[in-house]
Amino acid sequence: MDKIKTMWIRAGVAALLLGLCFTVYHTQCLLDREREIRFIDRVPVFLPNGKILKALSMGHYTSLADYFWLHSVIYFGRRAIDHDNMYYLHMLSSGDVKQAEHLKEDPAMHKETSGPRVSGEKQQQWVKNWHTAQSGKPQPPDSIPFMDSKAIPRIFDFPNFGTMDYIFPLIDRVTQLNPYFITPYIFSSVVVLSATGEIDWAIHLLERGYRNNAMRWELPFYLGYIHWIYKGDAETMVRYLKEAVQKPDCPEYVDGLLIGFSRNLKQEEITGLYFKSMLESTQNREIRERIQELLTRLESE
Amino acid sequence: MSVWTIALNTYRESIRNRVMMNILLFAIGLMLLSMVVGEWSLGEQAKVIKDFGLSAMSIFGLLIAIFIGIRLMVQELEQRTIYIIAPKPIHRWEIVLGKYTGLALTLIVNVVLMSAVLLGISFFIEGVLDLYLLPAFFLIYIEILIIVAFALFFSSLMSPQLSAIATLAVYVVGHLSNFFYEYVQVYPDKGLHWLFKTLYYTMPNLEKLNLKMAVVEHLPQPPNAVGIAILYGLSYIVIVLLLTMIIFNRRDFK
Amino acid sequence: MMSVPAVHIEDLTKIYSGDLGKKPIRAVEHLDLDVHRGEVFAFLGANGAGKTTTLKCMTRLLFPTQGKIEIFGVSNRSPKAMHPVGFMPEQPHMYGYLTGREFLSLVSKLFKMNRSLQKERIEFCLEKVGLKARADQPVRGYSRGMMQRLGLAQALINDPELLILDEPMSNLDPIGRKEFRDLILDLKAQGKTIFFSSHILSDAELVADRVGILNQGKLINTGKLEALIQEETRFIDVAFVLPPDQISKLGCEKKQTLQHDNKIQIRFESEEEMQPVLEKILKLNGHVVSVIPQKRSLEDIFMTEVGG
Repeated sequence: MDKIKTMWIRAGVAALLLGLCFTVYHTQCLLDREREIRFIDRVPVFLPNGKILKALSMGHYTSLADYFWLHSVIYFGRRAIDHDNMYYLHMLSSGDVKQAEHLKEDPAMHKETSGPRVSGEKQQQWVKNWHTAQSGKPQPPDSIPFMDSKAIPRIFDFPNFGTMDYIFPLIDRVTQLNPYFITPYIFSSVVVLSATGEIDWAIHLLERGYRNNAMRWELPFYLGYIHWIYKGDAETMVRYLKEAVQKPDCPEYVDGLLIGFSRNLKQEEITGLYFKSMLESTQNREIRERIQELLTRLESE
Repeated sequence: MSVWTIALNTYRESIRNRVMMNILLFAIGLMLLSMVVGEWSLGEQAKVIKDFGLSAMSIFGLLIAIFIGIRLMVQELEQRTIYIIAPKPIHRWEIVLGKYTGLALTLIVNVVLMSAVLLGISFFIEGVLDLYLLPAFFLIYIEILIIVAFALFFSSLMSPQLSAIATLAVYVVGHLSNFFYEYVQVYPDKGLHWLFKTLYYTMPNLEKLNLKMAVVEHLPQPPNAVGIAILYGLSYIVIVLLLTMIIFNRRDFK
Repeated sequence: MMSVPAVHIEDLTKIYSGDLGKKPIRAVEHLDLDVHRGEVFAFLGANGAGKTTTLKCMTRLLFPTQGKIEIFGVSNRSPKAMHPVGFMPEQPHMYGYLTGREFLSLVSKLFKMNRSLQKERIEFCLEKVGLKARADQPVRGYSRGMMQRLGLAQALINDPELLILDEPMSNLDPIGRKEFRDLILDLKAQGKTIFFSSHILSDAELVADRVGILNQGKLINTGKLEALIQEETRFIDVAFVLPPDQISKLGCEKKQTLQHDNKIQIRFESEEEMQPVLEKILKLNGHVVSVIPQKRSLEDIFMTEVGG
């Protein structure tokens, strides 16, 4: 009799534990649905500057730089690629219904148990913010005579302008913590700049990179690229390229660019050469993809 | 010889108390990280693994230094084994040096194994054995030894809890040294410059032993930099150990 | 020429500085004591009398505030003085992660013994204390009694000329205590000097040649045991068997008497008082079972000196 009683008690306790585990899981899912910002999308409410972060890191600033680098990449990826963001809402509000419908058919958008639930009011606020941001969007420079007028809006569409407010501040922290980490400079000057159009940020980062890595040819090379493509400033481009060719290990195609310019090649040919040189300069898959995309756009115009 | 006897006994204690389990944690953690980090690092997987690996080695070493370093002497008193050891024909300083050497032995095995794991994983990712990391491994070891010396020193003076706080404070101040130096340069007559100056010159500047960025980024180093850093670290260790031995020499075991 | 004493303590004073606001504690004051070679010296005193403090000063665990201590003529300020010494603290603790054998090996290395001698002494000591069967088990699994035995084994590892033991029999059962007493006497027969502190006065009485009584840090009495315990007999207890109707004929109504069945015990204050009664018992066909003289015990001395 006692044995049966003990058995029932044990079974009861086991059932209770299972029930509680299920309750915990289910309530967590419910709470997640109420959250407005996805975990991976969150940025720190207060991001101390790099010097303070360096002091706080207790000598582990390279690891902290890497952490912020990973965070930057994830942040960029979610904002640029993830459908579940303000860009989709903009599509809807701007009337680009076809694109919005295409996104709407994505099963991930309509799973009841996943993704944030956003109130109508919140949606309205985001759309309003988006429009405000668009009014401050940088315009392509007038003085790019080699560029066809059709090409300009294609290359300078800056699709993520105003949707990635923290990307440059994050990369800024990365480079303050570890100014010798080259990939963030190149990523920001090629991929991020073409998505957001924040030219001044890109130049600021590259200049820091150049100050700290004076013997690297890539930094003056990309500074020249920005001044050429985004500002139409040929003189500054040439100056930077001349500095780049002085650096050790500078590849020959950089010299080829300078030679091409001195031989008065057409400016679109120089731009094409520049993009091709940039393709050669990096093995990074994502950066190469973006450069190829820009090159394709240029060549198609 | 008594030093060596006590050292080997301390080492044996660490092995039997499974202190080395941290290496397993380190290895597993790093492998998991390398799997996760690949996609997110945009081609910088090897660099991220090396950075995190070096940081983890330093942190594991710091934790061992604080928690085990403090327990080295405290345990002898709490468990009353000092009443068996101290009345033997050995000097008190031999006990201190033996305990320190034993933990140093444990830590060198720890650091060597963790280094091997890190080199192995980075070789697996990059296909190249990056021996440029070796000076960083060595200086991480020296840094940990400095912290152990301070842990031993504080534990011979105060309670284990206060010793842990004081040792951690040495680590923090050691890494903020450059900040103190810059403050004194920028504000030579202002505010707490006298305090920062004192801290800068009395506390070990652990940043001088921090080569993590230089080795991962393959930055050129002056030829004697590593040698001078090692000498700097060893000098601190000897000073702190001597002070500990002096205190221990006159200590009553009630 | 007088031989150098095994232990020479001169004007030993130990004062512990008090914690904040508290008065300093004078644990031992102006202690002078010599322990001669080959004798068993029992150091007695109540809790807090200063016995352990004295032993710790001798074994370099504490530093005297004043005074000096010499072991076989060598000042104990130098660790060399501890070469011929074996010390067992009260409730000895060993490293739990070592086996008994490993622990003894560690201790033997601290005496810088050569390898073959180490092995020999380890096996001998394990055998001597009866721990051979458990020698390869971790110490953390030992009982308190086994710890005590191992503590003694490590004290004997260097074949010491002087054995200092702090409350050596406190954790032993009666059989263990008997074995321990036999061991002490065996060591004494080998010419060793033994200095031990104890609360168990009967054990001290059974093995000690000389005793010292400590009270509140001061040595109040010291001397050979026989000299302290007076030769003078205090009482004589006589036990005999006599039919109940014959007892009144002895004339001992006023005497302290115990009766159990037919057996009677009477306490006499002197031999002169006892003799006539014994003759009467024999005349009345009684049977004398025992005649036991009661001398003054060590406990009596202790209570007098310490109890006040």
